[in-house]
Amino acid sequence: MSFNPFIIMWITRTNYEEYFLLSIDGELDEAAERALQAFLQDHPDLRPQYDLLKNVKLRPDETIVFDSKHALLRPEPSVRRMSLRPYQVLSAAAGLALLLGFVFWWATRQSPVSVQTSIARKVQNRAASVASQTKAPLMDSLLTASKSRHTQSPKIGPKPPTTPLLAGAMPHPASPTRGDKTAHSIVQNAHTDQRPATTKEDEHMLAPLPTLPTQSAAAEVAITVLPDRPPLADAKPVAEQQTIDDERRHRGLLDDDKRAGIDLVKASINDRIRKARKVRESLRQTRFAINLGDKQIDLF
Amino acid sequence: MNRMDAKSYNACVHNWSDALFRFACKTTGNEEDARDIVQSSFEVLWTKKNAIMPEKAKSFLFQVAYNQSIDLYRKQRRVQYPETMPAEGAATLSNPDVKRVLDRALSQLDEQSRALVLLKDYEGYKYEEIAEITGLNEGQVKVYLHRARKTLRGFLVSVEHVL
Repeated sequence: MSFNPFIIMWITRTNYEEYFLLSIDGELDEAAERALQAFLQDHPDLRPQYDLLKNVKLRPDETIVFDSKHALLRPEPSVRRMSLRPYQVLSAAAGLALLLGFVFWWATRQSPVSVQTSIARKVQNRAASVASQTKAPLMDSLLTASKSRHTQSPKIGPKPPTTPLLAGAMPHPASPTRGDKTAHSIVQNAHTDQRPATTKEDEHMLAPLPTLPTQSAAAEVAITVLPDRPPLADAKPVAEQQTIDDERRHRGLLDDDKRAGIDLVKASINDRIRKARKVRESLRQTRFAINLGDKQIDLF
Repeated sequence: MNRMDAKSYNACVHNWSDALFRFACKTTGNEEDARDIVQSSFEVLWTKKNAIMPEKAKSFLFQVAYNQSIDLYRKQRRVQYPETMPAEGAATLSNPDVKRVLDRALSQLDEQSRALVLLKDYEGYKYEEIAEITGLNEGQVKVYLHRARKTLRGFLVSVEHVL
């Protein structure tokens, strides 16, 4: 119960007893208590009554205690604590170590090389399936590439190398090459969806094609799709075997191009080395000296 | 919501059993009755532990003890203080102290007023808390308590006049 201190200000000689009792009961707030003390200072004759009421307040008898507490207590549920023996701790540690080792092995088993291998295998399988499904367009692109070799390469392609190695491999534009004939027969067989005839020319299909100085778009697509090691199983279907042969032929084309490029680079490097040797020899025969008046000092 | 469990119940036993026994002794005037009241109060507390918050356990215990002491008083219609309260006019009054006089004066109060004074002076409850324990309203608590104090004061003044 809260008592407004403004009401306390109205403490009179007729109602003071109630406020005395409220003060003894501790029900007055601090401001009201100060107002009551001010009232007592203004009316000192009422102070004995206030003190008498204060003596009426009881004090607890601390000597009275309840001595049967144990009869009232209830059993508390004990907290179960897990106590491990040494061998249990060791077995748990061993299990944890095994788990960590397995996780480490799992995290490190897929190295970048193995990832590349797996990706290459996926690409290889995907290329084989795509090639078997799109056999006719691939043959068309091969035919187009073969034709563009004769018609466009002298105009837009780089100059054919004049080295004996590459010059000997250059096909003659007037007569169709062995590769063109093979491509024609393959395309024809692909369009008719028949088993290729076992002619003498077909036996050369497994051999790499002659080196081409230019790279057509079809050859670039074939390079990016074809795997390094195409799966060549003995019991392949006819169409799939045909596709594999085509891939192998393109791979030979790629290898020859690489080989030609490497030879070009080697020749260029050897040429530069020879020029550098000539410069060195000329420098060796040159005399460097400094003239200081009458003296002449040879440097080297 | 934190409910009472065995641990908090035992804490209540350790914290409040003495005060409750003191209150019961003063209200009933009999130690054995007070002991029974304390035991039955804690029994009720344990029975209703799931519905009582631990911070409300003390007031609940005093509420149960108050009701049981009132019931006991109504049954017996008597208050006896054989050990603590000498009869009025006995030789002990010739050398009284305030505490003894007040204990005797307390026995002259009715059961309800005595309980109100004990709850206020012994346990320091506010009017609002006493009202919650006794089932009275706050104004009744204030009126009954002031009336009891005036009675005690009158008894104290009369004894001083006798002395």
